Amino acid sequence: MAIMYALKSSDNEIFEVEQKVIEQSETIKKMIEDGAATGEIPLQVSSKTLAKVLEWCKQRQHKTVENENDDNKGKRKKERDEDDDIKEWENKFSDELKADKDVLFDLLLASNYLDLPALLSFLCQLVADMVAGKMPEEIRRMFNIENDFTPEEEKAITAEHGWAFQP
Amino acid sequence: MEVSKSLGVSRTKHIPADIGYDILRRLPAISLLRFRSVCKNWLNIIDNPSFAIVNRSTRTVAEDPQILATTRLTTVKTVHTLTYDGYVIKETDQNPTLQLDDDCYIDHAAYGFIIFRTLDGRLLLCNPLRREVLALPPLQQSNVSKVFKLECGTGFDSTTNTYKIVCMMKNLFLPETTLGVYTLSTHSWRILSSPPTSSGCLELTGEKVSAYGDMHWMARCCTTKSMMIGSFDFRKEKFKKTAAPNFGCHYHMINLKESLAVIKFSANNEQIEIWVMNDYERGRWVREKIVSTRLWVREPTVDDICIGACDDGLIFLKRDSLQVFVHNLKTNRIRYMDHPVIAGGPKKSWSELMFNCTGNVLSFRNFNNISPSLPLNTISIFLS
Repeated sequence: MAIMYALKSSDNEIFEVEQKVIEQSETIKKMIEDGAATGEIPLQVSSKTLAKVLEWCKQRQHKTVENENDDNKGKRKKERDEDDDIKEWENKFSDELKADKDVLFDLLLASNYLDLPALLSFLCQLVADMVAGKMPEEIRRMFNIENDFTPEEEKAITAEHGWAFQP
Repeated sequence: MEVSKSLGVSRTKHIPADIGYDILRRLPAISLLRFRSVCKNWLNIIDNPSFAIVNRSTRTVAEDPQILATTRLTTVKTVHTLTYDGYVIKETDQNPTLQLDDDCYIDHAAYGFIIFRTLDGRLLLCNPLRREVLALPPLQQSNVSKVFKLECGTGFDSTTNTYKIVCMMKNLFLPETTLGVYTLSTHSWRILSSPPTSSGCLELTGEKVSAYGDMHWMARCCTTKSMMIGSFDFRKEKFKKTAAPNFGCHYHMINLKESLAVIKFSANNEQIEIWVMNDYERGRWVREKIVSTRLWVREPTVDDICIGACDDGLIFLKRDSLQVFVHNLKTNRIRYMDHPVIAGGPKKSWSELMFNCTGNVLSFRNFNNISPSLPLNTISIFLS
């Protein structure tokens, strides 16, 4: 019988999750080990974001369990098929996040807060792919960064690598 | 209280600095040069030499600008930057990208840098993406270029995270060779006392390629005269033999997606084989692909062509016709192109050397002695 934990989102929604799934979060794993996780575990994450986090963790958990149950025979072909399945799942997951940048940024902050290195790395790569072709002004808007250059300074810095700004 | 949901929450949130850094380190060099003007903090991160090293080990190679350096046999003073967009090669800037102070030859290109050699044996380190040139201090004080043969290579020492250049000066009249290693972070040479080779003797030819942090030369064994690959190990700072495919015929050596690769032509020139070294430590080679050359308009042979890698393919420069074409290895399509700089020059004046590597965001400004940079005949920066 799997041990279940109750996670409470910042907007007071309860999520029942298997220990194995949620232990991927170093933050929660530590809370469990320290015995601090009795009853509901309150998290500074919204229910919408937490649902996404758990979607990721369950997919990863699913993958690990299946690999453990494999015998070696036919494993390679199976692994290949699974890799394809995972790719497909990740693509769908990415597409949803690209469509809703608020969810993406919240998820990025949540993966950092919950200490989920695999998710954090996945999201950083996703954001990097999204921003690679963009212009500085778009970046500032996207990341909510203030332009602290004077117009003269900005012009000088842009001129240093003017060719990089060509479409 | 009403909370407007449509504006979204993240607009008011800042991305923590460490996440910002994690995103930046994955970006291609060209995006980073553009993002220097986002804010002061990003400018400082991107211009930090240690960031450039992290960036080269993290980012997706496929998205990087490819630097392809080719040169005329004559010396050069002007560097042009060209871009290849998958269809045509065109000039990136209206004016030459860089003006060198001296007449130079391109010695090689590696790890995002182009290394020029002046007529009197000095070396210039150029980062074409940054439009910067760094004049290296002389290996030896006296002006002895006339009687010395110079051979050099560039590497990256992953134990100290620094770029290094090895230089060997061989006296043409006396049995005397000076071997030195230049370290970029200290901007100085260190003379090595050990003999140039650890075992036996290797005669290095001009054809060389960078990969795995080291520099690799086509070499001939002095005693048996057989062809082999001689490498300079930048971590141990010594020459070594690297296992080479034993084809019994001439082949080209290139850097293919950061791996050492050789291109071998079949006896009738109807196909080429691409062999890649997939395990540098064990010296293991695999044949990655056989490519038919039947689709080429006139089959170049192993001797009249120079080869580089770009995007998903191989780029060929046919010397007698000054023809440039790209063979895409994924789609097997071939594209012939006019080369804006080559087309204007005299025929048969092109060297047999072509070097390719991926761009490097490193700036020399945090080091010493930036020469007033304003320098090839062609440097083609290929952007996908």
